[in-house]
Amino acid sequence: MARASEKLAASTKPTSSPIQPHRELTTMLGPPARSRLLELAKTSCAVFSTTFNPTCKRTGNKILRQRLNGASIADYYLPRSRIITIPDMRRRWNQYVQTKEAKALGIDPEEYEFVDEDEMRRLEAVEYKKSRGKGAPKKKKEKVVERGKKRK
Amino acid sequence: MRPSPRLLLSATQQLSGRGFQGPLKVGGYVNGLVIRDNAKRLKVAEAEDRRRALKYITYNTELPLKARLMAQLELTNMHLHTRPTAVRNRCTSAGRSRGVFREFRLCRFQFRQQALAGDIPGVRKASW
Repeated sequence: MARASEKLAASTKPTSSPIQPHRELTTMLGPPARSRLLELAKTSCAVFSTTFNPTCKRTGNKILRQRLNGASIADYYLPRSRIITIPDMRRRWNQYVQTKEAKALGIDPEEYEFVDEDEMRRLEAVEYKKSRGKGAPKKKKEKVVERGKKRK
Repeated sequence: MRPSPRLLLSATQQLSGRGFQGPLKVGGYVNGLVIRDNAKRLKVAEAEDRRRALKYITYNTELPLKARLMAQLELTNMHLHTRPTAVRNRCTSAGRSRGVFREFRLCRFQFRQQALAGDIPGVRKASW
């Protein structure tokens, strides 16, 4: 078959343009032999350093190719030690100010105290409300008498 | 190699303060579910290599059938907290499991609040 097609190709070779579309060439010459194609695949694998697997066997390589993501999975939540908030710093500083070390350095705890301004403001507001008689009600000392059963 | 079945118990103990298990490892918003999820994550990371190797053996048709079966069995017998599909992304500042943006690790409401407060860099309300 191949030889016949080659002859046909030789006899009907057009001379007008040297470049022909690829599809026409293959139809004229017939498809390349399977062994040749295999060889091509093999050399291409050698060149591009990929695995030569003509029978498409399942070797599980795709499992090995996947990235290991355990570290990123484990690192989702913030560790407790990494979060230092302003209240933490305030607490630590106010503790430090009270120490003998700080006194030795001449740090006056009254003067250098880290004040929580929001809390100050809140307490002031509470005082102001109390002075106007609008404070929180006092807690009842008597035990509240329980009502009867709500529902049956 | 199998993780301890007392994993969950230790997590709940950590939260309630009974039976001190060392300092709490999770920061941000913490509740039992967050601690449990974090414990799962640690176990997943620990068992990852083993799981990957076993999976490779089961998937490889070149290997003898018995070895593949054994690997499959081993995989199914591993503790359920070593499965990577068991972990769930939770909101780091509310603990919510649904509607969590992966990029910010926040649920939609926390994201909105923090973004409006300007706490998330590079995010601002769109207006046109």
